[in-house]
Amino acid sequence: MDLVAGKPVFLEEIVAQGADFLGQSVRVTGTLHSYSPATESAVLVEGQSALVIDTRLLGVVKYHVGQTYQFIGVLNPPAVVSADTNIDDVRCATDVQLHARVSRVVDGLDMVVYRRAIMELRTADIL
Amino acid sequence: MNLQNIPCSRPQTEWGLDPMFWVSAKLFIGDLSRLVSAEPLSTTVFYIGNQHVIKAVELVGIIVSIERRALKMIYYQIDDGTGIISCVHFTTPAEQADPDAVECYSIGDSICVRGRLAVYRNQLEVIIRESEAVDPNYETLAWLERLSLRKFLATSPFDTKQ
Repeated sequence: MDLVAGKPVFLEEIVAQGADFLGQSVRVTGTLHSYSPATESAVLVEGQSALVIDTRLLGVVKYHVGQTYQFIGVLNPPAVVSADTNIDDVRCATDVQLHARVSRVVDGLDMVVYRRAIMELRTADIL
Repeated sequence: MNLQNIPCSRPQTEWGLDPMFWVSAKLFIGDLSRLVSAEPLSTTVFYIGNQHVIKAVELVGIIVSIERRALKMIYYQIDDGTGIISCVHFTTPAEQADPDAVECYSIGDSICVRGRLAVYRNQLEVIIRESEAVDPNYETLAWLERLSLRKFLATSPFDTKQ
């Protein structure tokens, strides 16, 4: 099984340059805004950016709206229609969706330190 | 920036004088793929940075795959954002007798793994000596710690004359 590491990216980068990330394996972090069991999709929000997550590969998972989640998966063209993408003051990525293969709750994660750590890793050309 | 891995010029009898030889080196998984093997002198020792020699590592990442092979082995694939590597846990006879007693992690768990490096079927893997679940903030701290230690590996040489 040839898995590719999920590179940490921010939702605003995906919203701004979604097409550049097509086919890439990424790790995204954000607050769960909504989950639809009918379409097996979730909407993840971080700041003023949102992304639809296709959760069909994750099996039966109990999602709690408002918790902070991390998803690892591949960004592909949209495959599911999520109804809840019209959120006030939030831009949702329209040309990509994340086909998640791993999810985890990261409540308590210090997002300020997390962001700075990722920026430092990018500066050192590790990510 | 890729870490420049320079083979150690010291004889094998002096490798033990490098402190890195005896510790579980804290590295990114992405750096492991570029290690230089010490073959033919040893297949389980690797060169890293400025002529340092290591045989064990400490990795922190998320479990993205779990595979149980009979009752004897559990393979975990760990992803820390820079790469993925297989970590194998060899079960003890007591664990084989009672499979439910084996502490098995789940996909998505964040763990810290310490173990020695090995090459199996041309693939680098880590044979787990000890592992523990950690919280997400520990992973962020681990990234920053490894970033700092990388500078030491790249700049401080293994010099026995000091």
